[in-house]
Parts: sequence; structure tokens; C-alpha cells
Amino acid sequence: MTLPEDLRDALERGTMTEDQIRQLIELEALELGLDYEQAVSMVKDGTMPASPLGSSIEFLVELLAA
Amino acid sequence: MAVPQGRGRNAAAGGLCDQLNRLLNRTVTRARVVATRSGQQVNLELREGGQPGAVVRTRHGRLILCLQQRITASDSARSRVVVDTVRYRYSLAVDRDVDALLRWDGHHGPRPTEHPYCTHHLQGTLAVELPRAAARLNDFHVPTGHVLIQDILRFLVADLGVRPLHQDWDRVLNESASAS
Repeated sequence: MTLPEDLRDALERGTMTEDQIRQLIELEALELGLDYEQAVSMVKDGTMPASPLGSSIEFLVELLAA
Repeated sequence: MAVPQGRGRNAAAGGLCDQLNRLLNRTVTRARVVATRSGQQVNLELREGGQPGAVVRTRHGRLILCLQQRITASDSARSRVVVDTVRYRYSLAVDRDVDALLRWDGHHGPRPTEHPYCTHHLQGTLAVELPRAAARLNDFHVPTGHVLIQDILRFLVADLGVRPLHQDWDRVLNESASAS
């Protein structure tokens, strides 16, 4: 997975917009063969795989929902 | 951790991020923890090349170390900002899209009513031999109590044979754990 440069910069700065967090979730979900909506739904159902990518998505989705 | 209010909540979260990076960079990885903020909540996550987790070379082969923490930074009495860890997950996996072999999860605060399990527990895909059947750690929530990241880093070096990045790794972990 290669992140767009602006997203990598935002991650390094620690100042991501909600849109960028959504974009990151979307890209990581794609790596697991999921789209954004499926990923959010799996996090809410507690069925997201406990892989490094799945855990990252889980924490990001919860952060958006907080 | 509490810092003077004048530095602000973002600085408080950044300070914790810096502490974690100093700890990681003197023990098992040069990859860095990044902070992602939304309101009062902040995610701290170890990333390498933009991807979640960092490669560590153990005596059993290459593994992905993951570190995630959810923290809140809030104002308290005496003009200070208090940073609390409300959730953590540390895990080791053979690849980024594979379920973790070992996963330490912890929640602080009230137990979610839908889950009767221990709020600090160990799970994973490792096989477990039981008298009547084979099982996996994922079939259980093995109680752990609060797990420090320092304990995970020590486990990596002392048990899994990860070569420490600095000769004073043991002192660094001891001092950091004492201050936690």
C-alpha cells in the first residue's frame, strides 16, 4: 500500500482532517478487500479482523465516531 | 502524564508521542509513533513507511509489531492538562493483513455492558492444547491486568531475541516503566 504524499505528510505532522482520516480508512480497507462502508460496519459489529491493518482501521473508525 | 496548561492539549499529546518514540528508538525499532487527532481524542499508532506497525526481526523470523493507543487530553484542576490512556492494543503478526499471533488489549473506564470479559486480556491465533480439544488463544480472553508497552518491548528482546538498538535498553525500559 502506497499512501499519497499529502496523506503521509499529514500523518507525520499528526494533523489529519476528518476527510484524510476517512481516506486512510478507505485505503487500508481496500488492502483487506473491503470498501469504506463495509469496514465501518465490521468495526461496529466487532467483526473486523485483528490484523495490523484491521486494528488500524478499528482505531481510526472509533476516533471518527468519538 | 500531566503538563502545564500553557503548553496546551496538542503539546501534551505530542509529548507522550515523543516519549514513546524515544523508548522505541532505543529498544526495538526506528519506526515512529504518529498521532492522529479528533476533538479531545488522539490515536497514537506505530507506523513504518506510512503503514501500520513496524517490522521486528526475532529469532523466530520477521514479525510486525503494532502499537495503538487512544488517549484523551483534558483540563484538570491547578491549570494542568491531564493525558489518560483509555484504550490500548499491542500485537505481533506475521504480516499486515493476517490476524495477530499475540494481541494485548486493554480498556480503561467502565466495562462495556455487552462484554463480560476481562477488560485487559491476551488473545491471538497461537494454538493451545487443552485436555479435550485443541483451541486457540482467540477462543479466550486471558486476563493480564494493565500491560505496559515497556513490558512488550522487554518481551521482544528477552524472549523473542530482537537485537536491541542501544546497549542501555534494559535501563531505558526500567526507568520508563518506573515513571509510568
